[in-house]
Amino acid sequence: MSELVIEKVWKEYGDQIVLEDVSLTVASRAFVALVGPSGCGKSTFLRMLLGQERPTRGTILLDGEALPQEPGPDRGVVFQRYSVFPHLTVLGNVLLGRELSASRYKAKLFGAARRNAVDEARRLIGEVGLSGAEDKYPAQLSGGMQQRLALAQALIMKPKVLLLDEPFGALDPGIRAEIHTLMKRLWHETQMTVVMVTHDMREAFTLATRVVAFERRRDRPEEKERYGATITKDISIWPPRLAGAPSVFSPDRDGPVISLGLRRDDPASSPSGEKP
Amino acid sequence: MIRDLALKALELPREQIVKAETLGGSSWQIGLRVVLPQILPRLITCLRLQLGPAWLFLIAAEAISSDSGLGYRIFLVRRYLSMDVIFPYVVWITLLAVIMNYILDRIRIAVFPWSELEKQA
Repeated sequence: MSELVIEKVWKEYGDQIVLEDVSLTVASRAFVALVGPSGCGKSTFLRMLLGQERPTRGTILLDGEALPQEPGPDRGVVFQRYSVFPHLTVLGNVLLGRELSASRYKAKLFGAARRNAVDEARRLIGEVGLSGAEDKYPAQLSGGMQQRLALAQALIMKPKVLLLDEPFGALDPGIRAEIHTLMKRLWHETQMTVVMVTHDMREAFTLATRVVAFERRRDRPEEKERYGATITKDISIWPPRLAGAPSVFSPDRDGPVISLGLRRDDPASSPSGEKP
Repeated sequence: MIRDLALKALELPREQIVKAETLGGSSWQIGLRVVLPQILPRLITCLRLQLGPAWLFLIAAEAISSDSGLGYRIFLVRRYLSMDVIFPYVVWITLLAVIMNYILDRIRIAVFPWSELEKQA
């Protein structure tokens, strides 16, 4: 279970109020999309869920317990950029989560433990469609492949909550549609709650179970400092989408378009990606 | 060199550190597995940049107080202004410096292949 309860959260930077009076309850296994104009505090809100920043007032509870003060293994994250480590191969990137949590001082695994972790990592890599690229470095991958790698890397920790900060914003529409299909499948298959920040309305409505809009209610220049953004719209998608349950409509009427055949940035079809 | 490496470590995107924290990393682990590997290529590059001053001081030191070495030999024949001896030595020094520079760069590429890939991307 992974229910998020956000109660009357305010965030201020000095005099500037960014968020005011945000209350939101995210059900376990929901997929919430946060939308809103630039600079209205969506990303700040996500960073507070992550634990990177603390709310000035109010509380955030995960499963009834206050959120730890720092980012931890129960909350995975994928950023728009810099989510993967450039100095590790695809396999190394996915393995890192296992190694960090299992080996306290050396942060490396050896022998049987390593073999088990490698098997699991390979399975996840296959799941996101990157098998065959295990020994490549992120610099050799396309943007879409890097984001899929970042997803696999976050998923190996089996986080309760997955936070996505405009994860697919820098991808072209074709690849984005493919990664949406993947995202939806992963959400059905894993036991996690997803919170995604996005600028793409279409993305928000095709993927999410619930779309939450942030907006400043007063936005005149002289008022901007003292009035922050808050939740102005909270739309539940109908028909309700449930994780693990097939859509009422078959095929899912509003779901992401499923592409046939090879993915466009599959290792096999990309120019630099010969199969080993 | 220390300051250069410190700056490089600070340049690492904040996102990477946060990501490592969500993967369960402690400060020590993040330093060991995320920050350190990423500044090591920079260390080698830094070493290459320092080759020039290193050679300069080597020659100067040899000239002042030494009884062997290229710099010593140059200063030995300096008083006779025998350029025919000095020039080959200068060429030798240059050649050695260039080779060292090249080898250090090859080492970086061999040990940290990703650092070269990143540059091209």
